[in-house]
Amino acid sequence: MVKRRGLSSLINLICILLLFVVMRSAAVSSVSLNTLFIQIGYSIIMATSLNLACGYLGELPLGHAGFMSVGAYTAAVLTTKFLPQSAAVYPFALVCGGLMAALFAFIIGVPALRLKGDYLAIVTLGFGEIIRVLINTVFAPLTDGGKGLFGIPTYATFTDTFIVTVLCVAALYMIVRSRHGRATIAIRENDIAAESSGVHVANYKVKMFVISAFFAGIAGGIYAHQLGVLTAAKFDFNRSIDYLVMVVFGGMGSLTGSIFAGTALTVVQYLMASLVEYRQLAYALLLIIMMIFRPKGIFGRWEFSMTRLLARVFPALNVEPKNAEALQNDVILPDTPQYEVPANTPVLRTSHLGIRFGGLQAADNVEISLGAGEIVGLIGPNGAGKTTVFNMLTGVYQPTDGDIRLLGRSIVGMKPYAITEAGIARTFQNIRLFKSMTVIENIEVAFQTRMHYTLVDSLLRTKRFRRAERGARKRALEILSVFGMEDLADQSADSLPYGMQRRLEICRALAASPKVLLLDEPAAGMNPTETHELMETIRVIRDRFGVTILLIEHDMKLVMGICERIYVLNYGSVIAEGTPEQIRSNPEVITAYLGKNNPVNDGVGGATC
Amino acid sequence: MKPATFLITLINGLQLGSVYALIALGYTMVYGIVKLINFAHGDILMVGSYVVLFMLTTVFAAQTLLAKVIAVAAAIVFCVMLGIVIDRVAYKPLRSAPRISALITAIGVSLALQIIAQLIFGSEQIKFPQVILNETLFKIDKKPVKSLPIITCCVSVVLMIALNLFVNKTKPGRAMRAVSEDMGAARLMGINVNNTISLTFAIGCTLAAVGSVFYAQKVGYVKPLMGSLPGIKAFIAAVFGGIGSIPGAVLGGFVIGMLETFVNYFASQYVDAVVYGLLIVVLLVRPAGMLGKAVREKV
Amino acid sequence: MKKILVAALALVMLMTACCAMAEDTVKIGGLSPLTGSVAVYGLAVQAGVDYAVEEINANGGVLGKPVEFIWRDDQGDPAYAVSMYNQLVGENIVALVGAVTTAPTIAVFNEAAKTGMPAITASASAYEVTDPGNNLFRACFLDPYQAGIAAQFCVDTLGAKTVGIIYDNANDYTLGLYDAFVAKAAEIGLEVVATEVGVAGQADYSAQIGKIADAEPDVIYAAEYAQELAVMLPQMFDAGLDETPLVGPDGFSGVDSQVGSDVELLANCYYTSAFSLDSTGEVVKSFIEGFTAKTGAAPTLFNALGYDAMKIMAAAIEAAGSTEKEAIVAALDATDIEGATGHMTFDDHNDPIKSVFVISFDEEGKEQLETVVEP
Repeated sequence: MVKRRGLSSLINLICILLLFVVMRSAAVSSVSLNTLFIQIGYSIIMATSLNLACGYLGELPLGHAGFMSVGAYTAAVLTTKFLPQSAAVYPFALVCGGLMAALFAFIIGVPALRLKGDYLAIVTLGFGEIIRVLINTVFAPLTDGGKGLFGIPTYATFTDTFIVTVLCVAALYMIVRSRHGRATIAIRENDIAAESSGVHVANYKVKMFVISAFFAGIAGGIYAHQLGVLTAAKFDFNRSIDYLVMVVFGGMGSLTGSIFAGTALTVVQYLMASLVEYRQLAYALLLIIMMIFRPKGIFGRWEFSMTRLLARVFPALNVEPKNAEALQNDVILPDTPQYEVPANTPVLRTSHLGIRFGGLQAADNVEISLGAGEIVGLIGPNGAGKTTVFNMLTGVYQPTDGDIRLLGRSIVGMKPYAITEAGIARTFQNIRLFKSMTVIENIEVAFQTRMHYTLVDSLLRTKRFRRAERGARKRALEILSVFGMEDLADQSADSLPYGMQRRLEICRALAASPKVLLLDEPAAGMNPTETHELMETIRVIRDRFGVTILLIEHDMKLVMGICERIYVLNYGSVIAEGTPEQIRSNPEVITAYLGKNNPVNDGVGGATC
Repeated sequence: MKPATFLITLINGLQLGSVYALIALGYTMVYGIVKLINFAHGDILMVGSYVVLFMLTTVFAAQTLLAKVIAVAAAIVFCVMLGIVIDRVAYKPLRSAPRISALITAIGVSLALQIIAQLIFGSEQIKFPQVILNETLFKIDKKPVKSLPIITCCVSVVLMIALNLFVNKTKPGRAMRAVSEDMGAARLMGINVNNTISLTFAIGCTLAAVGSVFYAQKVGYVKPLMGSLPGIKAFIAAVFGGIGSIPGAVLGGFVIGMLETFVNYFASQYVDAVVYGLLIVVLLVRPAGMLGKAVREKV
Repeated sequence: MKKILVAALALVMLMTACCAMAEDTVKIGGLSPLTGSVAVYGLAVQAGVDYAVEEINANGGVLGKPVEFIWRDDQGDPAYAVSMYNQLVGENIVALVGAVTTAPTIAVFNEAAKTGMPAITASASAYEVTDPGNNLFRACFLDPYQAGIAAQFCVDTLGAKTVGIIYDNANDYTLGLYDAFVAKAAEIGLEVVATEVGVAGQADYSAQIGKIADAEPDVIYAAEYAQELAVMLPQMFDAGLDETPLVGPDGFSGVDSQVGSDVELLANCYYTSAFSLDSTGEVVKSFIEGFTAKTGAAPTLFNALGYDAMKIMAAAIEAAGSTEKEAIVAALDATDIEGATGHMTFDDHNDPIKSVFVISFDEEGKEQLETVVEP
């Protein structure tokens, strides 16, 4: 591993310059290549930016060409009709095009991104169609409508296209490799877990969608100023599909893949030009065969790194930075909020809490109170409403009755990410890890609300960014070490054995620095030895992180072994509360678990045997 | 709008709507069962109409009633086989792959069908022979009311009712519903999942083949790209009604068809903007479509 | 060292051989949508050009060498067209015939203007097409020109006082016609009582047609292509418009082969064109005969325009006496030629000046010459 940042940047810079010199000399010698390179440039921007929304965010936008058209028309109308005739205004026009596309994406995105999966796809498809009609009708005074916009100055040259493409791809890379990118990927992997880890999902979706559209707008501007003519009909559904094909072909979630596919497919179309119909047939068959044999695309999620490649060839590059030690301490750690527990107030308290799904009262008049540093159990037969209570406490469900007070403050009506920020973190009954991310990234996602560097910091790789990222890694490793998992930090989360995955979920919950930790069946699927270890760990967590723990568990050994108090839930209501001993001998509890006329009376522990 | 024009427009809207509904059913059934937006479905419509054209112009010399019946039957058989082959060859290997990969494959299939049609029949539009009786039934205000729209609507409605009975009342229909609910569980219950999926494709393609005759005769011409526009409109109809829902697809088809026709009368320059705009509004208000069920994810 | 020398020598010889071969023919490039949604027109132009090339080569080629014509498919897409144009430039073409539709032609002409490449489009009819440079020409007449004549025809010959219009607002060609027709109609007192949009590719235009029928115009002007017209005609009859004359642009060309046996649909159809099968000129006659013999079908306007574009270019190269760009452009400027679409010279804007034919259809659905409007 090349650890020296400066060295890595230098290598990249040299490579880009070399590439530029080589391509530039080719472009100067041949008009044909010059045109081709410009086309490759905007294809790459389109593919990589679509990949942000598609591969990283996990949505399926079918109207990317629509944003391209907005950018193209905005930039072209500006340079053709309003701005002075000089290539100096070209960058300004490109940015305006990008911003206008971003604005449209915002208007579409805010309502539409609430929709899931294919429905969002349809809305974007609809947008792509509507924008064409609008260009030909409502905006016709500016865009010259269906006649097409002619006489656009052809400012696009190889050099500026190259620079813009490199800048766009670099910007996307910087965004993806930051806390913002981690949050985005987390949404793709599991939006519910992401929200519970403190990621403002709705906000991020819109943000990434808008950024994606911004770059599509820039690409549109280049397109317009290469051709000198625009017609709305060229930004149809098929064009959106062309770029989607590039993204999937290269690999969803791999910028390298999009760059490769953007280049390769443009070149292939160019080279096969004289084949006419057979070209398209070959293209269609290529798509089908490619998808059947490599459904994840050529590169999957793999990224190319020049530095890594060189380091493999020249091991001498593998040097630790001189000031490694100093860097280790020059960090901004994620916040650890100091929770003020008001006197005589429980850490968490529910009153008359209830929820109704249509005709079903899933929870009713639930009263739970947790004191500072307590470990409390929440038990009950299957379907008693335990997880429903968790979902209300974390904002996944909105209660229809009652109140939840965290440290004396009501949290009813708050979104899950805000509740996480306020101090409640949870794990899930059916594990919800961010599977394709590494162990440490899973934890770093949960620092979301505790880190503060901005998008601009990540774009410019500022000192603040670097210190905060080092801090996040440092803290994440600390948390992992509590579970003895620090050696697994760079493994992918779904390669972990089951028990480890459960622990990782706990680590992730702890990373949000909560005051209250909710564990939903932490021992499910563990063998007795693992369960025993888990009991120890839970105590350690409480002592070390100063959290209050509420846990749902069916394993009575664990519940009776570590809980100081237990609530028993049945049919959505609390039927008993007390110490393990009290619960063990409570006749109502026994009835709830075993039925009324059952003669067996040897403790609840038998219930799960 | 004159009353006679209104009536004619209404009939035309219903005619277009019933064709959309027939195609939308194919989309919605396939989506319901394999969660795939089958972009090649519109092109099945194109293939169906070329088969009828081929039978009636090349195979049979005279366009007798018998020839017409055989031609339509041949179109249905060909489309069904094509649909099943496409599923087995192109979609089946991707059942467990990311859904977007299957989507790209579907786009590839769609392109391939269009280009093959162009290679065989050329890109120019070709006149479609008259298959279904299209006589003037009566005239109102000098405007003829023709039989084709009426027959189109009636046949479509009968097919839709039959489909609904099939899905809800028969054993294979139950198997289809089970597979669309939970493929794994259905397999454990002894349902032959692959056959059920093939059956779904077969039904979808049958409806598309029937729809192709109505559509091609309404337009009067066939061409290789003819399938994409009704395909996408029908898909929109399926989403509008709630994708996965059979009554939803029918409702969606008729709403989109009527809407398109009437907007064409009142504001033809905005027709696509209005249709897609309405779709967006419907989805924002009812995210699962008009008759779709919103599924709450279990946490 | 010896090896390298031999290799270098071989390379030099190969290159000279290549160059020598290149000079054995006159290379002309062609751009046309051969696939995609406008392939119909692209293929028609291609057939016309190919026929012209065959004829030219049969008569000894140009400058004493055979013409080598290289086609590239632009798919009707401007970006693709530019890319393909540059490929052709890479093949050392001396002149360009293409593209066919307006947007790709403009994009390509922007490029061609930079190097002064002599270029002629067979069919891109928007005014702005030849703007980028004086090396750019076209074989077809302009949209406003024929639309104006159509409006005049409606009033003078058909005696119309009111008109209903249907046009495609997403297409430069039809939109240009629409604008010009409306302007001319206002000028000569033809009242527009209904204006409807019928975008290409729709299945059903009956709603728009129904609205036009409600307005009861004396005549309908349809700024549409033949494919759409063929779909619209039965729907017009169903809307009770079977008695109303229908006038359209040269895009109608080929509609008779589309409607086939339903000839009654064409009874009241008229269109303005640069080409008529009834023309009596010698060049036209031999073109019609030769083309029909070769392809088995009578030529359409787009065939004729392709043929003329190629003929104009070949004549210019011959007149220039060399393949120098400037010389060819100068010769193009001085064009004075009898083609399949009549006698042609170029004005200051490099647009051809030629006569307009109004075409109608006889009882068998065959095109017939209604009138000729001289420039």
